[in-house]
Amino acid sequence: MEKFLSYVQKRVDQAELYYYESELNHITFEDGKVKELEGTIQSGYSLRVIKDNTLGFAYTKNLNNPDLLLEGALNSLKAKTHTNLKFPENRVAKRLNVYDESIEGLDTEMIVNEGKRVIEIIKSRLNAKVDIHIAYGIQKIAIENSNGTEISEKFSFYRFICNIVFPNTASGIDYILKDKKFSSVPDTELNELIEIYQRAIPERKLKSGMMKVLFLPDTLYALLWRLASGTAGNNIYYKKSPLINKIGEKIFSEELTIYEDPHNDYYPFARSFDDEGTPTRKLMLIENGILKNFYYDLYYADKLGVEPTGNGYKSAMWGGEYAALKPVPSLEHTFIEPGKKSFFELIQSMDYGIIVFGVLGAHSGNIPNGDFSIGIEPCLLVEGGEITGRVKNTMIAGNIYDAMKNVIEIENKLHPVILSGTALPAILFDGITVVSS
Amino acid sequence: MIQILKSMLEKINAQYADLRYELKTETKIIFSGKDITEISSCPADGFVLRIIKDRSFASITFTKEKDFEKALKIALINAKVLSDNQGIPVEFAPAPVVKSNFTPLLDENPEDVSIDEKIQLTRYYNDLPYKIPNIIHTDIGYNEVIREKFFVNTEGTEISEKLITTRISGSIISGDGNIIQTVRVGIGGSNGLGILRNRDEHFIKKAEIANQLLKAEPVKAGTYNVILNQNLAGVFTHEAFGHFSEADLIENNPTMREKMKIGAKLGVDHLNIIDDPTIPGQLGFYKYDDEGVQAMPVQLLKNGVLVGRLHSRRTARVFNEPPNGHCVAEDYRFPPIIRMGTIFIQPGDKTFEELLMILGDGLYLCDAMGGQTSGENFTFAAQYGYIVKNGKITNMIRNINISGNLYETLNNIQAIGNDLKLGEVGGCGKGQLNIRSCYGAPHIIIRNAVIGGI
Repeated sequence: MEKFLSYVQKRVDQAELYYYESELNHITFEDGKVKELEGTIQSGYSLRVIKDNTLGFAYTKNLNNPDLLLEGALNSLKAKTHTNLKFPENRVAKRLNVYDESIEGLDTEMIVNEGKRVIEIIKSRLNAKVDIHIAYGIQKIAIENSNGTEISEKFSFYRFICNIVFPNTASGIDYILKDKKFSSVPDTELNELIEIYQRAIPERKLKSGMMKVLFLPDTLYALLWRLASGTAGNNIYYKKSPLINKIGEKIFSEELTIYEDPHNDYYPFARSFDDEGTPTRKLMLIENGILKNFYYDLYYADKLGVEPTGNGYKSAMWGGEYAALKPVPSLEHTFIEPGKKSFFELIQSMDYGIIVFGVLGAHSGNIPNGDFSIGIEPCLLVEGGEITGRVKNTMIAGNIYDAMKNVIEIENKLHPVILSGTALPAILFDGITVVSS
Repeated sequence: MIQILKSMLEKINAQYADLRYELKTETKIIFSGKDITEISSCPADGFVLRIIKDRSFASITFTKEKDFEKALKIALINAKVLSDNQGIPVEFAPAPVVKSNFTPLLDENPEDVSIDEKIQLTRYYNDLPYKIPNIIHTDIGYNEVIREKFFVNTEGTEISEKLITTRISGSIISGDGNIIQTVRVGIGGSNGLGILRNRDEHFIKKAEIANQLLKAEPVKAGTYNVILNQNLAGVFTHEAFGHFSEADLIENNPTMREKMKIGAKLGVDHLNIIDDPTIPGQLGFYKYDDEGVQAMPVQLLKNGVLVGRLHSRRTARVFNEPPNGHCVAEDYRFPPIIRMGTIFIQPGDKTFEELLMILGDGLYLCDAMGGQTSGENFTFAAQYGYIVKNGKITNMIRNINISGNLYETLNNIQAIGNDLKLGEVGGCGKGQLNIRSCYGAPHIIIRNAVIGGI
């Protein structure tokens, strides 16, 4: 890599080479049986160059012909993407605890047995379809640039997702575990899940109207994607955000504190530098309801004349080949400050309302404006402080800049999530429009 | 390349194995506002290996040719773990051995057009919306994906297929004070660059809608009778029904499988739905899928009765139905999964005006803005719509999301228009993205649709 970079440097003003490799194994159980094992061994290179204040980009998977990669980057200078950005000088990245060597050489058989154990426990108490997805492995990234940055990090991860499906549907109750090493699902958590499932079996009807809505941690992405859009440096630059000029204003309920904490290495994939080599830091987005910060990568920080926040990640809504993605402003380590009540206390405090166990169509609608209008599946009904069943054909709708002013209470515990951030609590909102046929 | 793959295959000791090598060259010209933020045209490649050993099925993807032995070792271990754990036994339905090198004929091959000309064309369309008032931003890009696929299996099939997908797509954003409205634009297909020429009207019309949406009223949540336009009815067909024709989504869901039995009456008598990837010139066109099976048209619903479903070789065996070439991968990073090709509601006999009269009072909803399915429940958004009173289109509405239950909705399709239109831009996410996912329909009336509103 080093040689190639110094070779590239002769042709341009600044250069940055990004390399990643990953080795993963995926295990899928469907309806209680192990169905599929799928491995991936992937790697790739991205090259960014800056010449005459113009940014160029190219990538490749196999670096069989380095000249072709360089030519690709030089050709892309045609875009005349003007920038004054400087690739960072990041020589000593902060060390985080992100790699557990036990993940390498992990016995596949043992993991399959863990899946079987969980299924057995659930099946002994429920006549339900149980699906499980387990993924584990390692990922390595390395970034070098012409300003002296030469950093790399190796990550290990283990992710276990279990879904107990309701009859006549394809959706159910999820359990998510994320770790840096193999980790067994605690029986207590399974028991809670089973209890909720049992209460939710009866099909019930719902009275449409404004009501209390309890979002589970892994469904909050439906709202947080809108906030991520509103606070993204690129959307601020293009004036596509309703939050422009609102830093310091109270926009949400004072119960809400939402922040990025990339250094929290209790969960996998903590980061001391982003995909551009910029050192990361804790970044408050919303503190007690007050809008504190937007987040930036190098390019948009330069456009707006502000400091980058270390949020430049090779990220895209539907994923993609890492090498092919350009860094964009992205939230990757979102947390929400927990509140005071337990999950079951939150339910007890609801006279009439619903619990959002899954959302449909969170990516659709007018996201920049903060509007949401989403199907709820599964949707559990709460009456008199107890789950009394589940409701079909239900939607909720609103705008996050109204809805998130109406937070009643936040759960006192964080749970790992998949789609938006690292770990979040459940949140109880009031006055959300719910419609059901 | 076929020879390299064949020599790799010879080293595999298994009942069945296939190998796919793919070189994907993606060209992107991305505008954010009036600036270009990216031009790239880069090759990316990799291998996908699948094996069946002791009736267990394992797959692995790898980037570097030198990693073949390592990948094979992992796949063999995975297959062994599967067979030791009473994994679901796997066999493939028989499929003809194919030897073919296929490249579709194109209307203007984008490989023959310079990047400068593509930039000029994209810039031209990107500039058009700004002629309309209140347009504050555009995110419009040119995207060209060339997949050169080389496939071999131990049965003797050897296929090279080159698929080129082009599009100019993105969004137009209008703003007025605190209100921001977004509409999507998209033109393109599998048939070359020709379809991207002379399409000014599409961008102008969408920009006008973005502007009008600023003054439109949010729809009031409730239950309505609605007319869906072709694009939206196409998304409904894809999301609500189509995914259930994918055998892998129901095979291990006993209750859904029971409901989706061949011969089940699922919809109204006048409802016919087909998936046909063989229609030339359409976005969803391909000749061979990514397990080497020739694509075939599949009648899914005939007079409201389920008569077919989409299969891979594995699920065809599970259901004891014929394979039909619907097992497609996004690219070199993925083993193939079951996908729709070109799915659509076959046209009925009503004109749009007749549909409006039948509807009387209700909503006319247009153009999709994303959708999702979970089990028999679906949600999808419309970009804009109108209130219909007494058969007449009146005020514009926005913030429209429709939610429903598949079986109820299939029985609530009151009337079907005669004006079938197929989509030009795909993008179905099912773990992998399918940019060639093509859907369409004529205008249709659905009774009692749940609208989320705001």
